[in-house]
Amino acid sequence: MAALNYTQRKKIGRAIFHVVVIFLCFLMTYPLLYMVFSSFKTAQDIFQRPNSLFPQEFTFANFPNGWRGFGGISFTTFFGNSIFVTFFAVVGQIASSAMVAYGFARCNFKGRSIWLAIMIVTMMMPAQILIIPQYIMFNNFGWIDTFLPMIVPGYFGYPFFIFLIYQFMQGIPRDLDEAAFIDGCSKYGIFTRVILPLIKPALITAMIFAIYWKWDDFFSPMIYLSSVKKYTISIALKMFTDPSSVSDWGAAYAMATLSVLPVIIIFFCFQKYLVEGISTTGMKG
Amino acid sequence: MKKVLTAVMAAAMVLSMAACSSSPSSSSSAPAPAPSSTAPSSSTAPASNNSSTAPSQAEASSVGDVKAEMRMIWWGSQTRHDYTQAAIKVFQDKYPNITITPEFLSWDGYWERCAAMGASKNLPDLMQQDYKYITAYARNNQLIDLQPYVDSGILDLSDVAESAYAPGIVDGKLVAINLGMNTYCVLIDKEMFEKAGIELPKDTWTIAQYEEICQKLLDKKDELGIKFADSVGGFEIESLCYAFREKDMFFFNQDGSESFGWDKDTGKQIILDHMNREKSWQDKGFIAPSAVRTEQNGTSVESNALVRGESAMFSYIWSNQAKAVTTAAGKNYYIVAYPNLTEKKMQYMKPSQFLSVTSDSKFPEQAALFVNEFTNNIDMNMELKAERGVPIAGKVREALGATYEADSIDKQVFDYVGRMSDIANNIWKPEPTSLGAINTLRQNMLLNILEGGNPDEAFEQFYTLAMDEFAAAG
Amino acid sequence: MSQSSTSKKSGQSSFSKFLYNENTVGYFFIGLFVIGFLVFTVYPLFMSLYYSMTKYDGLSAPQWIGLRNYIRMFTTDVRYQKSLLTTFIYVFTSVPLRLIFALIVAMMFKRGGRVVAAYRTLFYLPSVIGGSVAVAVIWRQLWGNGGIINKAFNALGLIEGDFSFIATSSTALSTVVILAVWQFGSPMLVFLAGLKDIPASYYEAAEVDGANKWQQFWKITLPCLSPVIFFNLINQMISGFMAFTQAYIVTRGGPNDATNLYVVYLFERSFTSRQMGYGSAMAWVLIIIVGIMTAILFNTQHKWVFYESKGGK
Repeated sequence: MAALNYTQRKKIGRAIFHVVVIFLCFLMTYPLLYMVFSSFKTAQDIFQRPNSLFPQEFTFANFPNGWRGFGGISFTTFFGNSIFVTFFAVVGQIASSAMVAYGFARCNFKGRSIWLAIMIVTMMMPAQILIIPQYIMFNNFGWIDTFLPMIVPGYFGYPFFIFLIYQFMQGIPRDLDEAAFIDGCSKYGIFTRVILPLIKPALITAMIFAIYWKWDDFFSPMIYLSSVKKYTISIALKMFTDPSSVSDWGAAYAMATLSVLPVIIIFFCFQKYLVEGISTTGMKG
Repeated sequence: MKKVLTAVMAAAMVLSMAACSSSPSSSSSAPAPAPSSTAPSSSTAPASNNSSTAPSQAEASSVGDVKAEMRMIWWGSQTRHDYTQAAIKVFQDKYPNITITPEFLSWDGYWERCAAMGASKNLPDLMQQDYKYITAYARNNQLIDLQPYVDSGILDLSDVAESAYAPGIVDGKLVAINLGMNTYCVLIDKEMFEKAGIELPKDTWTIAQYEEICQKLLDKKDELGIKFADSVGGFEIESLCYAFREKDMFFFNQDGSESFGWDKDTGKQIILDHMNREKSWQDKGFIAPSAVRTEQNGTSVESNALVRGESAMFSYIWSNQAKAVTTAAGKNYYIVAYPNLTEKKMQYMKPSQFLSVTSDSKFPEQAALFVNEFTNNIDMNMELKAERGVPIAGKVREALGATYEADSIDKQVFDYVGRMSDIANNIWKPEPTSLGAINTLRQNMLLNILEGGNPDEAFEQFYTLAMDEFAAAG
Repeated sequence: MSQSSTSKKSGQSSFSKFLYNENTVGYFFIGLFVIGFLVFTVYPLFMSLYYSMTKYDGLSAPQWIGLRNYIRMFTTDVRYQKSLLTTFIYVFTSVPLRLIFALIVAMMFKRGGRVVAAYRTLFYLPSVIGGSVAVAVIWRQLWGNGGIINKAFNALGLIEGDFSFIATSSTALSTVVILAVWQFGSPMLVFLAGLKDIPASYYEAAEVDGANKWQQFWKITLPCLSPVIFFNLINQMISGFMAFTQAYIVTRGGPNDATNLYVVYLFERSFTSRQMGYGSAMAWVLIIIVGIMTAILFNTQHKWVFYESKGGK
């Protein structure tokens, strides 16, 4: 060891680091790899060799089989539904949250600190505990078996995103507002012309989170949607598994793989914004 | 930011204070409770079926001419979804004015969904029902009495035995029609029995004989390549109910009240004897350990040890699931009754599931017409393929039975159900509304004992909690 | 700033005065939130408070029973108490593990080239798929009897014969905890953002003073990061109490209530047993518990959270 100079030691250290990290990466992603590879296995393969990662022979049959869906309703419908719900919900959540965050960050109205506190408390409040009264309320609105309960509440601001965008706005120097103000820009104008372009990273971060959460949401569709043609992917997948009968596991894995594909693609496209959009400066007093 | 955080904390405190302090004030403004306690009116006479009037074709078709849009909900597997949709198509071809929108899901989540829809008076017109829930739904006035439609000839039960539709009567009302007969059975791997030189048991076999067979199988464990003799189905309540029947008792009180059909000391004896025996079977390796059973339960039938060739028997499985097991394994099994202490059978014929018309329906007549076709229409049942259990209408059964090959599993199930309906016990009355909760408690007690917990303590806890559930439901 | 705004607009009509008034502008922007809060939070919250003092099956009209639901919870309902205990165990194990894991990964990959970014992505991937049913299926396969983890433990001689992590009471909860830790992505992102905001000059100064990496971590990283840790801790603690989907789809609360987390039990009571009044009471107790836990954390923060005097603004 003594013979090794500093650079050599560093090189070896780095090699060990990479080996360890690659091994950990494998452990972390193993369940996902398992899912992806299983979607290419034959039904027999899945059962007879449950612990082998790679298929004995690759088959693509699971994809058309799974896509066929249930009783004449294919995954085209389920994907369409998920895309529809996700798109409209996310647009609403982000647009309204940006507005509300601006109100908190840049306007000195009466009751601001109280509402800010309320917003943060709401952020900390579990949505699930309100499920019973909310269900009854949405039912009175005639919203059951529609996408509305999953979309409309988002248009009234989503506290976590309000907080995220608010934090980010705090990091934007007020000099910019002042300058625009002197140029004759109103508070409304400052929002659209000055602030919105600057908070792009925060908006993208919020958008990515919003997309994940909507896409994966299991609880609300399970409770609010009843007709199969309105199912989103998350609950459609559940229909593959029934304890009392034969399940087409290959098809289930294939559709599960396809279902996570969109979020993974979005993640890869936007990941460089993810960290940029979170500002922790405001948390420091 | 610090200021905000302080404010948040204050708000959180206020919130929790409000929760404590507002209780007395809101209790004063409480609305008058319980407007209409649901007194079960047993004014309707039980379906005597003397109305075996041949349904006037004219009347039925006029009912079918009305333009109606209905919804139907059921739980099940993909097979069932496909079959049922095909059957609905047959119905819609026959009555082009009626459309039926299907809503289907797996058993997980079905009752939660229905509870939610029921809360908003938005149940589908037609609802697949289970024995466990039928009382609760009937007593909540969520299901309509079908007797008037039987009387008017829309719903024809002349080809159905009374024992087959009687389970759908709750408090004197015919609230549901049985979709198929079902009973517990044991599936046996014939080849393994042959290899081990064991004679195939008869329907009248006893628990003593069962234990003997298990021991013989275990002796040849390595030769057969099995881990345990019997993979056993779930932790369902039925076998415990048989244990009470052996002593001429019922697990639940038969007067429809929220209580047990036994006093604490007697019941404790029976329950603990039953569960300790199961524990001893597990310890001896006769049956699969509880963890394996829990897992088998949570996934599909392919994961059962019998299908994987790790056991020679699969006891305690519903007869309408036998086909799925056979399909999964790709081989035929021998079907035999569930063993009891004596040769007398304690098991009963259970409706696999029911079809009900809900009170939220705007087209009860058309819905009743659909129930009729579901029961009697041979073409529809050809699409349904008896997947829900053996059909209750005689003609349908005959027509369907004629299509099966002599050795097929379908034929075996038909024969088995036919055999059992002669010797099976009577089913109990629909269960109390707290059944679901009690069943969870019973299962927890059983798992506790199987995992080596103290049986006495497990029972005491079960009993205390069960009393609490009854009190809350009553 | 608000002074200058009033003086500048003072000559204009009363409508535009109103339009540009700070209060109008403020409520214009936060108005949506106010409405949403009243309709989707306050109203349901009070309805649930009312339901919590009734016997309500969601079908027939609620019957007033006062505090009986609350009393039952803490006296006769042993399953509730067990569920509460299970939830606390879950929160007190999964949250610290998740945060520690997230912090370690964030430290490991905080800067570097493309390779490190790729590692970070792979570590984040499990969090992307969230509570998908796919996860439940895989988890059951991996941790079940005959699953690969079982095989590994068998080979190491730690367990023998037919054993199933997910189907045995004593181990089922740990699989759910591990699932939660596996999906540590969102706190990691917040940590990364926090690390990025620590000025590099601090480390440079420390290096000049001869502090090694370990000392730098304890003397600079941790204190500077403590507000972020605090933020993560609060958020994770709350979502820990709310955990539902994972436990529900992997084990359905079983076996023998081993993974019967609070919200899973609340859901069972409300929708399976249709005791919506009881479920509402449980919801309110949960709000109070979370409120108290949050208050405790806020009260202890002065002991370990360091706010920089210069501030971020």
